Amino acid sequence: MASKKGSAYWFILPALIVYVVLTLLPSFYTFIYSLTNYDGILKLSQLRFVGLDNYIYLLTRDKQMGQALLNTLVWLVFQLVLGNGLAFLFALLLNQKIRGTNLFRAVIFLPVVISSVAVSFVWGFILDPQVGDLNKFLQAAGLGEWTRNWLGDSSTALISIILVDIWKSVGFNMVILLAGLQTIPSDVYEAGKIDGAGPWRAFTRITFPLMIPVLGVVTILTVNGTLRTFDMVYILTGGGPGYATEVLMTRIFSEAFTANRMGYASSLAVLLFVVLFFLAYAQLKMTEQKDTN
Amino acid sequence: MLAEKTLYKKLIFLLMLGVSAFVAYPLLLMIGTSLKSENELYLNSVGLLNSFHFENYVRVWQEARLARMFSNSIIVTAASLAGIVLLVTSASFAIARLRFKGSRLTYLLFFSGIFIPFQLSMVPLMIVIRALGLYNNLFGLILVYVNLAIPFGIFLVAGYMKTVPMELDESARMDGCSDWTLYRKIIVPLIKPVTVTLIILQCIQIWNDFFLPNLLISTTANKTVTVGIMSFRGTFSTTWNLLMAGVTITLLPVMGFYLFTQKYIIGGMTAGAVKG
Repeated sequence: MASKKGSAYWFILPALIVYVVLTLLPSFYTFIYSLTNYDGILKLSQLRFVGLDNYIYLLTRDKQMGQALLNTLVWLVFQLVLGNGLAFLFALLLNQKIRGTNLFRAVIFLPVVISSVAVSFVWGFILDPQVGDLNKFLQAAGLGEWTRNWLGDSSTALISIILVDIWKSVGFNMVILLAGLQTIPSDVYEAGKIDGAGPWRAFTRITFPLMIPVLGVVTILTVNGTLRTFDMVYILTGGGPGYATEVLMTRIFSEAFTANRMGYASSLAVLLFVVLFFLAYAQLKMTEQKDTN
Repeated sequence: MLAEKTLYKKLIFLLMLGVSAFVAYPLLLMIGTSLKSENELYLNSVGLLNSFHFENYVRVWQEARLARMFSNSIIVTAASLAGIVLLVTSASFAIARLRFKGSRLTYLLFFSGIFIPFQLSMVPLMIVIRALGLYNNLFGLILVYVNLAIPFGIFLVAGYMKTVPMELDESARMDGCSDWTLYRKIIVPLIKPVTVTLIILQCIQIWNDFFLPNLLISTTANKTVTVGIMSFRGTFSTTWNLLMAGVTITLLPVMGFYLFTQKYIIGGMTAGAVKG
Protein backbone atom coordinates (compact mmCIF):
# COMPACT_ATOMS: atom_id res chain seq x y z
CA MET A 1 0.00 0.00 0.00
CA ALA A 2 1.44 3.34 -1.03
CA SER A 3 1.26 6.42 1.14
CA LYS A 4 -1.93 8.39 0.95
CA LYS A 5 -1.72 10.99 -1.77
CA GLY A 6 -1.14 14.51 -0.56
CA SER A 7 -0.23 13.73 3.01
CA ALA A 8 3.40 14.69 2.30
CA TYR A 9 2.31 18.31 1.87
CA TRP A 10 0.88 18.41 5.37
CA PHE A 11 4.23 17.35 6.75
CA ILE A 12 6.18 19.89 4.78
CA LEU A 13 3.88 22.94 4.78
CA PRO A 14 4.48 24.29 8.31
CA ALA A 15 8.25 24.46 7.83
CA LEU A 16 7.90 25.73 4.28
CA ILE A 17 5.54 28.58 5.15
CA VAL A 18 7.69 29.81 8.03
CA TYR A 19 10.84 29.58 5.91
CA VAL A 20 9.40 31.34 2.85
CA VAL A 21 7.82 34.18 4.84
CA LEU A 22 10.73 34.79 7.21
CA THR A 23 13.81 33.94 5.14
CA LEU A 24 13.27 33.63 1.39
CA LEU A 25 11.00 36.61 0.77
CA PRO A 26 12.92 38.97 3.08
CA SER A 27 16.20 37.96 1.43
CA PHE A 28 14.73 38.68 -1.97
CA TYR A 29 13.50 42.06 -0.77
CA THR A 30 16.97 42.96 0.49
CA PHE A 31 18.25 42.78 -3.08
CA ILE A 32 15.48 45.16 -4.15
CA TYR A 33 16.00 47.55 -1.23
CA SER A 34 19.70 47.68 -2.00
CA LEU A 35 18.80 49.45 -5.24
CA THR A 36 16.66 52.07 -3.49
CA ASN A 37 16.86 55.00 -1.09
CA TYR A 38 14.69 53.22 1.49
CA ASP A 39 15.01 54.75 4.96
CA GLY A 40 12.50 52.76 7.00
CA ILE A 41 9.98 55.59 7.15
CA LEU A 42 9.20 56.26 3.50
CA LYS A 43 5.91 55.03 2.15
CA LEU A 44 6.26 52.55 -0.69
CA SER A 45 5.00 55.18 -3.14
CA GLN A 46 7.88 57.50 -2.23
CA LEU A 47 10.46 54.79 -2.73
CA ARG A 48 12.92 55.73 -5.44
CA PHE A 49 15.19 53.40 -7.38
CA VAL A 50 18.75 54.65 -7.34
CA GLY A 51 20.29 51.92 -9.47
CA LEU A 52 23.72 50.88 -8.33
CA ASP A 53 24.39 54.14 -6.43
CA ASN A 54 24.52 52.37 -3.05
CA TYR A 55 27.10 49.91 -4.32
CA ILE A 56 29.20 52.59 -5.97
CA TYR A 57 29.18 54.69 -2.80
CA LEU A 58 30.01 51.62 -0.75
CA LEU A 59 32.98 50.57 -2.83
CA THR A 60 34.47 53.97 -3.58
CA ARG A 61 33.58 56.66 -1.06
CA ASP A 62 32.47 55.26 2.26
CA LYS A 63 35.49 55.87 4.55
CA GLN A 64 33.89 54.29 7.63
CA MET A 65 33.19 51.20 5.61
CA GLY A 66 36.79 51.18 4.44
CA GLN A 67 37.95 51.31 8.06
CA ALA A 68 35.49 48.55 9.00
CA LEU A 69 36.73 46.34 6.16
CA LEU A 70 40.34 46.94 7.16
CA ASN A 71 39.56 46.08 10.81
CA THR A 72 37.74 42.94 9.74
CA LEU A 73 40.75 41.96 7.67
CA VAL A 74 43.15 42.50 10.60
CA TRP A 75 40.79 40.45 12.75
CA LEU A 76 40.81 37.69 10.15
CA VAL A 77 44.61 37.57 9.94
CA PHE A 78 44.93 37.32 13.74
CA GLN A 79 42.26 34.64 13.99
CA LEU A 80 43.72 32.59 11.15
CA VAL A 81 47.38 32.81 12.14
CA LEU A 82 47.33 33.13 15.92
CA GLY A 83 43.90 31.65 16.74
CA ASN A 84 44.03 28.66 14.43
CA GLY A 85 47.76 28.21 15.09
CA LEU A 86 47.10 27.90 18.82
CA ALA A 87 44.12 25.63 18.20
CA PHE A 88 46.26 23.31 16.08
CA LEU A 89 49.08 23.33 18.63
CA PHE A 90 46.71 22.50 21.50
CA ALA A 91 45.07 19.77 19.43
CA LEU A 92 48.47 18.19 18.66
CA LEU A 93 49.49 18.31 22.33
CA LEU A 94 46.19 16.89 23.57
CA ASN A 95 46.42 14.10 21.00
CA GLN A 96 49.40 12.69 22.96
CA LYS A 97 48.88 10.08 25.61
CA ILE A 98 49.21 12.31 28.67
CA ARG A 99 47.24 12.62 31.89
CA GLY A 100 44.30 14.98 32.11
CA THR A 101 43.62 15.39 28.37
CA ASN A 102 39.84 15.15 28.89
CA LEU A 103 39.89 17.80 31.60
CA PHE A 104 42.12 20.16 29.57
CA ARG A 105 39.88 19.73 26.54
CA ALA A 106 36.78 20.47 28.62
CA VAL A 107 38.30 23.59 30.20
CA ILE A 108 39.59 25.02 26.91
CA PHE A 109 36.19 24.42 25.29
CA LEU A 110 34.30 26.07 28.18
CA PRO A 111 34.36 29.68 26.81
CA VAL A 112 32.63 28.42 23.65
CA VAL A 113 29.41 27.68 25.55
CA ILE A 114 29.38 31.02 27.38
CA SER A 115 27.34 33.88 25.93
CA SER A 116 29.29 36.65 24.29
CA VAL A 117 27.61 39.18 26.58
CA ALA A 118 29.00 37.44 29.66
CA VAL A 119 32.41 37.20 28.00
CA SER A 120 32.33 40.92 27.25
CA PHE A 121 31.48 41.78 30.85
CA VAL A 122 34.19 39.60 32.37
CA TRP A 123 36.89 40.80 29.99
CA GLY A 124 35.64 44.36 30.24
CA PHE A 125 36.39 44.04 33.96
CA ILE A 126 39.88 42.59 33.39
CA LEU A 127 40.71 45.35 30.89
CA ASP A 128 39.23 48.15 33.00
CA PRO A 129 41.86 50.89 33.44
CA GLN A 130 41.14 51.53 37.15
CA VAL A 131 40.26 48.22 38.77
CA GLY A 132 41.15 45.74 36.02
CA ASP A 133 43.49 42.85 36.71
CA LEU A 134 45.64 43.40 33.62
CA ASN A 135 46.83 46.83 34.70
CA LYS A 136 47.20 45.65 38.30
CA PHE A 137 49.29 42.74 37.13
CA LEU A 138 51.53 45.02 35.04
CA GLN A 139 51.97 47.35 38.02
CA ALA A 140 52.94 44.44 40.25
CA ALA A 141 55.39 43.17 37.64
CA GLY A 142 57.13 46.56 37.55
CA LEU A 143 55.81 47.37 34.08
CA GLY A 144 53.77 50.34 35.26
CA GLU A 145 54.43 52.34 32.09
CA TRP A 146 52.66 49.67 30.02
CA THR A 147 49.35 50.19 31.78
CA ARG A 148 46.69 51.94 29.76
CA ASN A 149 42.99 52.17 29.00
CA TRP A 150 43.03 49.11 26.76
CA LEU A 151 39.62 49.54 25.21
CA GLY A 152 39.62 53.33 25.23
CA ASP A 153 42.93 53.75 23.43
CA SER A 154 42.54 53.53 19.67
CA SER A 155 45.91 51.82 19.27
CA THR A 156 45.02 48.86 21.55
CA ALA A 157 41.21 48.61 21.41
CA LEU A 158 40.97 46.43 18.29
CA ILE A 159 43.75 44.03 19.23
CA SER A 160 42.30 43.66 22.76
CA ILE A 161 38.89 42.56 21.44
CA ILE A 162 40.51 40.24 18.89
CA LEU A 163 42.47 38.48 21.64
CA VAL A 164 39.29 38.08 23.70
CA ASP A 165 37.64 36.60 20.62
CA ILE A 166 40.52 34.13 20.26
CA TRP A 167 40.17 33.20 23.94
CA LYS A 168 36.51 32.46 23.31
CA SER A 169 36.85 30.50 20.06
CA VAL A 170 40.12 28.58 20.31
CA GLY A 171 38.45 25.60 22.01
CA PHE A 172 35.97 25.14 19.19
CA ASN A 173 38.62 24.92 16.48
CA MET A 174 40.80 22.78 18.72
CA VAL A 175 38.06 20.15 19.12
CA ILE A 176 37.46 19.94 15.37
CA LEU A 177 41.19 19.58 14.70
CA LEU A 178 41.51 17.01 17.48
CA ALA A 179 38.71 14.95 15.92
CA GLY A 180 40.62 15.14 12.64
CA LEU A 181 43.85 14.00 14.24
CA GLN A 182 42.12 11.01 15.78
CA THR A 183 41.02 9.74 12.37
CA ILE A 184 44.66 9.30 11.28
CA PRO A 185 45.32 5.58 11.75
CA SER A 186 48.26 4.79 14.06
CA ASP A 187 49.78 2.26 11.63
CA VAL A 188 50.65 5.14 9.30
CA TYR A 189 52.92 6.50 12.05
CA GLU A 190 54.34 3.05 12.77
CA ALA A 191 55.21 2.60 9.11
CA GLY A 192 56.88 6.01 9.24
CA LYS A 193 58.86 5.01 12.30
CA ILE A 194 60.14 1.89 10.57
CA ASP A 195 61.32 4.10 7.71
CA GLY A 196 63.25 6.14 10.30
CA ALA A 197 61.05 9.25 10.44
CA GLY A 198 61.59 11.38 13.57
CA PRO A 199 58.79 13.41 15.20
CA TRP A 200 59.35 16.50 13.00
CA ARG A 201 59.39 14.47 9.79
CA ALA A 202 56.35 12.54 10.95
CA PHE A 203 54.57 15.87 11.43
CA THR A 204 55.55 17.45 8.09
CA ARG A 205 55.20 14.29 6.01
CA ILE A 206 52.26 12.50 7.65
CA THR A 207 50.20 14.63 10.05
CA PHE A 208 50.15 17.93 8.17
CA PRO A 209 49.28 16.59 4.70
CA LEU A 210 46.54 14.38 6.13
CA MET A 211 45.14 17.31 8.12
CA ILE A 212 44.85 19.73 5.18
CA PRO A 213 41.13 19.01 4.55
CA VAL A 214 40.27 19.54 8.24
CA LEU A 215 42.42 22.68 8.37
CA GLY A 216 40.49 23.88 5.33
CA VAL A 217 37.18 23.39 7.12
CA VAL A 218 38.48 25.20 10.21
CA THR A 219 39.76 28.07 8.05
CA ILE A 220 36.38 28.53 6.39
CA LEU A 221 34.51 28.33 9.70
CA THR A 222 36.87 30.96 11.09
CA VAL A 223 36.40 33.32 8.14
CA ASN A 224 32.66 32.81 8.38
CA GLY A 225 32.57 33.51 12.11
CA THR A 226 34.87 36.52 11.85
CA LEU A 227 32.85 38.18 9.09
CA ARG A 228 29.76 37.88 11.30
CA THR A 229 31.45 39.24 14.44
CA PHE A 230 29.14 41.66 16.18
CA ASP A 231 28.29 41.11 19.85
CA MET A 232 31.61 41.78 21.54
CA VAL A 233 32.37 44.92 19.56
CA TYR A 234 28.86 46.24 20.08
CA ILE A 235 29.04 45.65 23.84
CA LEU A 236 32.69 46.47 24.63
CA THR A 237 33.38 49.53 22.48
CA GLY A 238 30.38 50.17 20.23
CA GLY A 239 32.84 50.42 17.35
CA GLY A 240 34.91 53.16 19.02
CA PRO A 241 37.02 54.97 20.01
CA GLY A 242 36.34 56.84 16.79
CA TYR A 243 35.97 54.03 14.29
CA ALA A 244 38.92 52.05 15.65
CA THR A 245 36.98 48.83 16.28
CA GLU A 246 34.23 49.18 13.70
CA VAL A 247 33.66 45.92 11.78
CA LEU A 248 31.43 44.84 8.89
CA MET A 249 28.47 43.76 11.01
CA THR A 250 28.48 46.75 13.35
CA ARG A 251 28.43 48.98 10.24
CA ILE A 252 25.45 47.16 8.74
CA PHE A 253 23.65 47.34 12.08
CA SER A 254 24.16 51.06 12.61
CA GLU A 255 23.37 51.94 8.99
CA ALA A 256 20.13 49.96 9.22
CA PHE A 257 18.88 50.67 12.73
CA THR A 258 20.68 53.79 13.97
CA ALA A 259 21.05 55.88 10.83
CA ASN A 260 17.94 54.28 9.25
CA ARG A 261 19.64 54.10 5.85
CA MET A 262 18.07 50.73 5.16
CA GLY A 263 18.61 50.82 1.42
CA TYR A 264 22.29 51.37 1.92
CA ALA A 265 22.48 48.78 4.72
CA SER A 266 20.87 46.32 2.33
CA SER A 267 23.67 46.79 -0.17
CA LEU A 268 26.18 46.00 2.60
CA ALA A 269 24.22 42.87 3.49
CA VAL A 270 24.24 41.77 -0.15
CA LEU A 271 28.01 42.24 -0.27
CA LEU A 272 28.41 40.13 2.89
CA PHE A 273 26.12 37.49 1.41
CA VAL A 274 28.16 37.21 -1.78
CA VAL A 275 31.37 36.61 0.20
CA LEU A 276 29.76 34.13 2.60
CA PHE A 277 28.05 32.31 -0.27
CA PHE A 278 31.37 31.52 -1.93
CA LEU A 279 32.84 30.43 1.40
CA ALA A 280 29.94 28.11 2.16
CA TYR A 281 30.20 26.67 -1.34
CA ALA A 282 33.91 26.03 -0.87
CA GLN A 283 33.23 24.36 2.48
CA LEU A 284 30.62 22.09 0.92
CA LYS A 285 33.06 21.06 -1.78
CA MET A 286 35.69 20.34 0.85
CA THR A 287 33.49 18.18 3.06
CA GLU A 288 32.35 16.28 -0.04
CA GLN A 289 35.96 15.68 -0.93
CA LYS A 290 36.67 14.49 2.61
CA ASP A 291 33.76 12.04 2.39
CA THR A 292 34.88 10.50 -0.87
CA ASN A 293 38.44 10.04 0.36
CA MET B 1 65.04 6.89 25.84
CA LEU B 2 62.19 6.05 28.19
CA ALA B 3 63.20 8.74 30.68
CA GLU B 4 63.34 11.25 27.86
CA LYS B 5 59.84 10.26 26.85
CA THR B 6 58.36 10.69 30.34
CA LEU B 7 60.07 14.08 30.68
CA TYR B 8 58.58 15.12 27.37
CA LYS B 9 55.14 14.03 28.53
CA LYS B 10 55.53 15.89 31.81
CA LEU B 11 56.44 19.07 29.90
CA ILE B 12 53.35 18.79 27.73
CA PHE B 13 51.24 18.17 30.83
CA LEU B 14 52.61 21.28 32.54
CA LEU B 15 52.16 23.39 29.42
CA MET B 16 48.53 22.35 28.99
CA LEU B 17 47.93 22.89 32.70
CA GLY B 18 49.17 26.45 32.24
CA VAL B 19 46.96 26.98 29.19
CA SER B 20 43.91 25.62 31.02
CA ALA B 21 44.63 27.86 33.98
CA PHE B 22 44.85 30.88 31.67
CA VAL B 23 41.56 29.96 29.98
CA ALA B 24 39.81 29.38 33.31
CA TYR B 25 41.24 32.48 35.00
CA PRO B 26 38.63 35.05 33.84
CA LEU B 27 35.83 32.78 35.02
CA LEU B 28 37.45 32.16 38.40
CA LEU B 29 38.01 35.90 38.72
CA MET B 30 34.35 36.48 37.92
CA ILE B 31 33.20 34.10 40.66
CA GLY B 32 35.79 35.42 43.12
CA THR B 33 34.79 39.04 42.52
CA SER B 34 31.09 38.21 42.82
CA LEU B 35 31.70 37.07 46.43
CA LYS B 36 33.53 40.20 47.56
CA SER B 37 32.21 43.13 49.53
CA GLU B 38 32.52 46.57 47.98
CA ASN B 39 35.48 47.48 50.22
CA GLU B 40 37.44 44.36 49.37
CA LEU B 41 36.93 45.14 45.71
CA TYR B 42 39.15 48.19 45.86
CA LEU B 43 41.65 46.75 48.32
CA ASN B 44 42.84 43.68 46.47
CA SER B 45 41.48 42.29 43.27
CA VAL B 46 44.16 39.63 42.88
CA GLY B 47 44.14 38.45 46.49
CA LEU B 48 42.23 35.50 47.87
CA LEU B 49 38.90 35.82 49.59
CA ASN B 50 38.61 36.18 53.37
CA SER B 51 34.86 35.85 53.51
CA PHE B 52 32.09 34.98 51.09
CA HIS B 53 29.47 37.62 50.51
CA PHE B 54 26.64 35.53 49.13
CA GLU B 55 24.28 38.40 49.87
CA ASN B 56 25.50 39.97 46.60
CA TYR B 57 23.59 37.27 44.76
CA VAL B 58 20.39 37.89 46.68
CA ARG B 59 20.63 41.62 46.05
CA VAL B 60 21.25 41.20 42.33
CA TRP B 61 18.47 38.65 41.95
CA GLN B 62 15.97 41.10 43.44
CA GLU B 63 17.19 44.41 42.04
CA ALA B 64 17.81 43.29 38.47
CA ARG B 65 14.48 41.48 38.16
CA LEU B 66 16.34 38.34 37.15
CA ALA B 67 13.42 36.01 37.84
CA ARG B 68 11.44 37.61 35.01
CA MET B 69 14.37 37.44 32.58
CA PHE B 70 15.04 33.81 33.44
CA SER B 71 11.45 32.82 32.85
CA ASN B 72 11.52 34.66 29.50
CA SER B 73 14.71 32.87 28.48
CA ILE B 74 13.33 29.49 29.51
CA ILE B 75 10.06 30.06 27.65
CA VAL B 76 11.81 31.24 24.49
CA THR B 77 14.39 28.42 24.49
CA ALA B 78 11.93 25.63 25.31
CA ALA B 79 9.24 26.78 22.87
CA SER B 80 11.78 27.33 20.09
CA LEU B 81 13.23 23.86 20.61
CA ALA B 82 9.77 22.28 20.53
CA GLY B 83 8.93 24.16 17.34
CA ILE B 84 12.25 23.30 15.73
CA VAL B 85 11.98 19.58 16.49
CA LEU B 86 8.38 19.41 15.27
CA LEU B 87 8.85 21.37 12.05
CA VAL B 88 12.25 19.99 11.15
CA THR B 89 11.46 16.31 11.75
CA SER B 90 8.10 16.45 9.96
CA ALA B 91 9.51 18.25 6.91
CA SER B 92 12.50 15.89 6.88
CA PHE B 93 10.10 12.94 7.07
CA ALA B 94 8.30 14.10 3.92
CA ILE B 95 11.56 14.74 2.09
CA ALA B 96 13.37 11.57 3.12
CA ARG B 97 10.55 8.99 3.34
CA LEU B 98 7.60 10.08 1.18
CA ARG B 99 7.28 10.50 -2.54
CA PHE B 100 5.61 13.65 -3.74
CA LYS B 101 5.72 16.02 -6.65
CA GLY B 102 8.40 18.67 -6.24
CA SER B 103 10.19 16.80 -3.48
CA ARG B 104 13.64 17.43 -4.92
CA LEU B 105 12.91 21.11 -5.52
CA THR B 106 11.61 21.55 -1.96
CA TYR B 107 14.75 20.01 -0.55
CA LEU B 108 16.94 22.33 -2.65
CA LEU B 109 14.89 25.31 -1.52
CA PHE B 110 15.52 24.45 2.13
CA PHE B 111 19.12 23.51 1.48
CA SER B 112 19.90 26.86 -0.15
CA GLY B 113 18.96 28.47 3.16
CA ILE B 114 22.24 27.21 4.63
CA PHE B 115 23.99 29.71 2.37
CA ILE B 116 21.83 32.66 3.37
CA PRO B 117 23.30 34.55 6.32
CA PHE B 118 20.72 36.02 8.65
CA GLN B 119 21.99 39.51 7.88
CA LEU B 120 20.71 39.23 4.31
CA SER B 121 17.09 38.95 5.44
CA MET B 122 17.44 41.15 8.51
CA VAL B 123 16.00 44.48 7.35
CA PRO B 124 12.87 43.19 5.57
CA LEU B 125 12.38 40.61 8.34
CA MET B 126 11.98 43.45 10.83
CA ILE B 127 9.26 44.89 8.61
CA VAL B 128 7.48 41.52 8.41
CA ILE B 129 7.70 41.04 12.19
CA ARG B 130 6.28 44.52 12.82
CA ALA B 131 3.54 43.99 10.26
CA LEU B 132 2.52 40.76 12.00
CA GLY B 133 2.40 42.63 15.31
CA LEU B 134 5.16 40.44 16.70
CA TYR B 135 7.69 43.14 17.57
CA ASN B 136 8.58 43.10 21.28
CA ASN B 137 6.75 39.80 21.57
CA LEU B 138 8.25 36.52 22.79
CA PHE B 139 6.32 34.56 20.17
CA GLY B 140 7.92 36.66 17.42
CA LEU B 141 11.35 35.84 18.78
CA ILE B 142 10.47 32.12 18.97
CA LEU B 143 9.20 32.16 15.39
CA VAL B 144 12.46 33.69 14.13
CA TYR B 145 14.56 31.09 16.00
CA VAL B 146 12.50 28.25 14.53
CA ASN B 147 12.85 29.79 11.09
CA LEU B 148 16.62 30.14 11.37
CA ALA B 149 17.06 26.50 12.44
CA ILE B 150 15.07 25.04 9.53
CA PRO B 151 17.65 24.81 6.70
CA PHE B 152 20.53 23.26 8.61
CA GLY B 153 18.12 21.20 10.73
CA ILE B 154 16.54 19.61 7.65
CA PHE B 155 19.94 19.02 6.11
CA LEU B 156 21.06 17.21 9.29
CA VAL B 157 17.86 15.28 10.05
CA ALA B 158 16.80 14.34 6.50
CA GLY B 159 20.33 13.10 5.87
CA TYR B 160 20.11 10.87 8.92
CA MET B 161 16.60 9.65 8.05
CA LYS B 162 17.77 8.47 4.66
CA THR B 163 20.09 5.97 6.39
CA VAL B 164 17.09 4.17 7.95
CA PRO B 165 16.17 1.21 5.66
CA MET B 166 13.10 1.82 3.47
CA GLU B 167 11.87 -1.78 4.02
CA LEU B 168 10.76 -0.64 7.45
CA ASP B 169 8.20 1.74 5.92
CA GLU B 170 6.98 -0.89 3.47
CA SER B 171 6.33 -3.48 6.13
CA ALA B 172 4.71 -0.89 8.40
CA ARG B 173 2.37 0.07 5.56
CA MET B 174 1.56 -3.62 4.98
CA ASP B 175 0.38 -3.66 8.57
CA GLY B 176 -1.88 -0.74 7.79
CA CYS B 177 0.18 2.11 9.27
CA SER B 178 -0.76 5.60 8.08
CA ASP B 179 1.98 8.16 7.29
CA TRP B 180 1.21 9.91 10.55
CA THR B 181 1.61 6.71 12.62
CA LEU B 182 4.76 5.77 10.72
CA TYR B 183 6.25 9.19 11.50
CA ARG B 184 5.24 9.25 15.14
CA LYS B 185 5.70 5.63 16.19
CA ILE B 186 8.59 4.43 14.04
CA ILE B 187 10.73 7.16 12.47
CA VAL B 188 10.84 9.73 15.28
CA PRO B 189 11.99 7.17 17.90
CA LEU B 190 14.61 5.84 15.48
CA ILE B 191 16.25 9.20 14.80
CA LYS B 192 16.72 10.12 18.46
CA PRO B 193 20.54 10.53 18.25
CA VAL B 194 20.36 13.21 15.55
CA THR B 195 17.44 14.93 17.30
CA VAL B 196 19.52 15.15 20.46
CA THR B 197 22.41 16.68 18.50
CA LEU B 198 20.06 19.25 16.97
CA ILE B 199 18.55 20.11 20.37
CA ILE B 200 21.94 20.58 22.06
CA LEU B 201 23.26 22.76 19.24
CA GLN B 202 20.17 24.96 19.14
CA CYS B 203 19.64 25.06 22.91
CA ILE B 204 23.02 26.66 23.58
CA GLN B 205 22.77 28.98 20.59
CA ILE B 206 19.32 30.24 21.52
CA TRP B 207 20.00 30.56 25.25
CA ASN B 208 23.18 32.54 24.57
CA ASP B 209 21.92 34.62 21.66
CA PHE B 210 22.22 38.36 22.06
CA PHE B 211 21.58 39.69 18.56
CA LEU B 212 17.93 38.77 18.08
CA PRO B 213 16.50 39.70 21.47
CA ASN B 214 18.47 42.94 21.20
CA LEU B 215 16.81 43.58 17.84
CA LEU B 216 13.28 42.29 18.44
CA ILE B 217 12.59 43.02 22.12
CA SER B 218 12.25 46.55 23.47
CA THR B 219 10.74 46.47 26.97
CA THR B 220 12.39 45.21 30.18
CA ALA B 221 9.47 42.90 30.93
CA ASN B 222 10.13 40.90 27.75
CA LYS B 223 13.92 40.80 27.93
CA THR B 224 15.79 37.52 27.98
CA VAL B 225 18.78 36.91 30.25
CA THR B 226 21.47 37.79 27.70
CA VAL B 227 20.02 41.21 26.86
CA GLY B 228 19.03 41.65 30.47
CA ILE B 229 22.69 41.55 31.51
CA MET B 230 23.18 44.70 29.45
CA SER B 231 20.89 46.60 31.80
CA PHE B 232 23.11 45.61 34.78
CA ARG B 233 25.48 48.34 33.68
CA GLY B 234 22.74 50.86 34.22
CA THR B 235 21.57 49.33 37.51
CA PHE B 236 24.91 48.64 39.18
CA SER B 237 27.17 51.08 37.29
CA THR B 238 30.75 50.00 38.08
CA THR B 239 29.96 48.08 41.27
CA TRP B 240 31.90 45.18 39.86
CA ASN B 241 31.11 42.68 42.61
CA LEU B 242 27.39 43.01 41.90
CA LEU B 243 27.93 43.00 38.13
CA MET B 244 29.96 39.82 38.36
CA ALA B 245 27.39 38.20 40.66
CA GLY B 246 24.75 38.97 38.03
CA VAL B 247 26.84 37.55 35.20
CA THR B 248 27.63 34.44 37.26
CA ILE B 249 23.94 33.78 37.90
CA THR B 250 23.17 34.01 34.19
CA LEU B 251 25.96 31.55 33.41
CA LEU B 252 24.98 28.94 36.01
CA PRO B 253 22.43 27.03 33.87
CA VAL B 254 24.81 26.66 30.91
CA MET B 255 27.80 25.82 33.10
CA GLY B 256 25.82 23.23 35.07
CA PHE B 257 24.50 21.68 31.88
CA TYR B 258 28.01 21.65 30.43
CA LEU B 259 29.52 20.06 33.54
CA PHE B 260 27.30 16.99 33.28
CA THR B 261 26.87 16.54 29.52
CA GLN B 262 30.18 17.94 28.35
CA LYS B 263 30.86 15.11 25.90
CA TYR B 264 27.48 15.47 24.18
CA ILE B 265 27.73 19.25 24.05
CA ILE B 266 31.16 19.24 22.43
CA GLY B 267 29.96 16.56 20.00
CA GLY B 268 26.70 18.38 19.26
CA MET B 269 28.24 21.81 18.74
CA THR B 270 30.92 20.60 16.37
CA ALA B 271 28.56 18.24 14.50
CA GLY B 272 28.01 20.77 11.74
CA ALA B 273 31.71 20.99 10.98
CA VAL B 274 32.73 17.35 11.12
CA LYS B 275 30.07 15.27 9.45
CA GLY B 276 29.62 11.57 10.16
